[in-house]
Amino acid sequence: MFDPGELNFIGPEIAVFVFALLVLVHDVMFKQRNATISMGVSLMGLATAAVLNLLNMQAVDVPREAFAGAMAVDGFGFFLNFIVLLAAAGALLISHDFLRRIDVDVPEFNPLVLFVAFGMMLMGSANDLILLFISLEVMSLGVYVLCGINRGELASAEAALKYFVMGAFASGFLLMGIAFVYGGIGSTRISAVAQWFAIEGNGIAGNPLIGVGVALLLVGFGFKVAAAPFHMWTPDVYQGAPTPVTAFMATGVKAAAFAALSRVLLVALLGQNLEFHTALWLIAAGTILMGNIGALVQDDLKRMLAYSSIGHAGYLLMALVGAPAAGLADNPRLGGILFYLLAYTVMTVGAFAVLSFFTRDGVEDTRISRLGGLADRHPAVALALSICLLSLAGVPPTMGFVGKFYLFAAAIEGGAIGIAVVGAIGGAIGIYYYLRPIVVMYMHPEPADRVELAMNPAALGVLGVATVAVLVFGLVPGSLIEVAQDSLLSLAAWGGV
Amino acid sequence: MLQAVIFYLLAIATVLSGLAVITRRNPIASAVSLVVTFFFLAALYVMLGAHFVAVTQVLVYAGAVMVLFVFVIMLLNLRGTDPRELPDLAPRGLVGLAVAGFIGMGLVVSIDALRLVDMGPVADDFGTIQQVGTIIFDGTYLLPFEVASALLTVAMVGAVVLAKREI
Repeated sequence: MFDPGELNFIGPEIAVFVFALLVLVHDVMFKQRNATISMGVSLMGLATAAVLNLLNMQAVDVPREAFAGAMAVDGFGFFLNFIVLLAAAGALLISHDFLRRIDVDVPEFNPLVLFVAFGMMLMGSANDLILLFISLEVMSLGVYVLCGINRGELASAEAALKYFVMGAFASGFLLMGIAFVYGGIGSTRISAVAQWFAIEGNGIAGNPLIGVGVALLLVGFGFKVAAAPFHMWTPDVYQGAPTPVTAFMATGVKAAAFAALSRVLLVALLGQNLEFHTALWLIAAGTILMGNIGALVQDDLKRMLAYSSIGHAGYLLMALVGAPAAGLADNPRLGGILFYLLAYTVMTVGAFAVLSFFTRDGVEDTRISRLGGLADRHPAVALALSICLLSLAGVPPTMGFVGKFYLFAAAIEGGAIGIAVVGAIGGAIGIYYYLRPIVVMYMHPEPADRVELAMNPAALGVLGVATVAVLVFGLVPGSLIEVAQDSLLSLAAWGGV
Repeated sequence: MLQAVIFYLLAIATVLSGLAVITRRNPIASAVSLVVTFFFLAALYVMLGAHFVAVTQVLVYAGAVMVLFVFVIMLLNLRGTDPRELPDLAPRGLVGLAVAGFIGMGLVVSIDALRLVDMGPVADDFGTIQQVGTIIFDGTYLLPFEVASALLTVAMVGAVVLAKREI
């Protein structure tokens, strides 16, 4: 039966949703909309959610179910909530001045970001495949619209349509997979799938429905996290969407989808089922190579970051390949997955904050050549961008290095040496293309038709915080790594691996 | 016996109206045939005891989706083209038939080869509206059900954002 006390556990989600409605109503009520108030209330919503999440985190020591098992209340979900809230705050702050510059006056922007964050947070703690699907759709619908928010711009409309058509298709795969899994074992609870596999004699071989279902699930998730061979949409959509939205997609959407995928794989599927390891191995290798090789030849920084985001999804998948059969506690390095999701969010938001400065007459212009001479004009911005890019490349002493170190450690400790070698090749390629913008910034002259950077306090603040965080947690990652590892180990409570 | 008779009548009607969808040259006639197909399908679901799916079939497919189809057909405004001037699709139809037959055969063979685990019979009330209502409101699927309302809110806001005219 329903216990009202359990509403505490979705406190952060409720807070974000209520604040989104408040902002929506505020913008309808007043003819002269005050963008600053709208922004302030939205950020307050995110802050409230963060506080509630922290309270929940302290109140719940032992992972437990809520809502008759539809939701898992555990450290994994709490950690993801923080990542999502950070990504949403970053995207909102970057968008504040940016939307005015590209002449988009859509009061629904902030509420939509909050709605999307609502869906993402639920995804991270869904223990039920139906809940997972519905919250994923809340997220996806919001992001489709955000992509096309700049209706006057052809690229933005193209991005939205492309993402919508392909995304709807992928959602269909996911739903079909869920239906098959339900047909195979008679429950949609992820922990129930784990229990079913734990019974001696149960496996894919004896139950083809499960095999088909899981294959379809992998396709659906593969699309959402932009894993090869379902990554083709990424460059066009990331490039066409307005920069703050791209930042949100690269960080929040990726983190939420990856968290949901990790939960399904780690709790229910990996471990006993060697078939999935092989499939995952191939997907991870393809993703790493496709992303990094594709990024090599890009002349547009935004498009390059899109390809690199594919590569980063590959590194995360690489760590999942190393998931142990014996039990999560066997390989605590897997906590690197959560740490890396956080690190990737921070450094990517930083890089996109700089990208958002590059507009000319209301149109984005993010070619790498535009960066020429940036080090002379704005040494601090150039330095911050360099640090973010180096962190993405995985150079010490940055957060990206620590995260990548743990991902490789997780794969190697799990015995997945082959995929770690592929990952290392990808990483080596990565260093080359991440260094190129830095070289242009410091060594190339300014382009003749340079335009003033549209710097603004909000985005600069985001950049500053991101850069400092990348350095601080790169130098002293200890406590954060511990939290990430504990959070990931909380998944062990649900059985399975 | 009676059940078998009703089933075959409904099945034949479904296939016939399905054929009408692809053989009519007038798009509106095709669309209407599709509605008829949906209704017969709904009747088949009722015979399976899947009352909820049957109701959804009528409400969502025969209702909402068809309205969308008809809207699109009318917006495209096909009045200018005489349906009789459309190219003759018969030769391509043969190729299509061959491909569809091939895929169909593959399906039959693979489903035949499939050795499903016996999951045991489902409860008598499985799929009825009452049972669906019970598992939603007794808590099992309460949270997903509530989140679905959030999904509708987002969809509505999103549609307004994308569709409203510049003010």
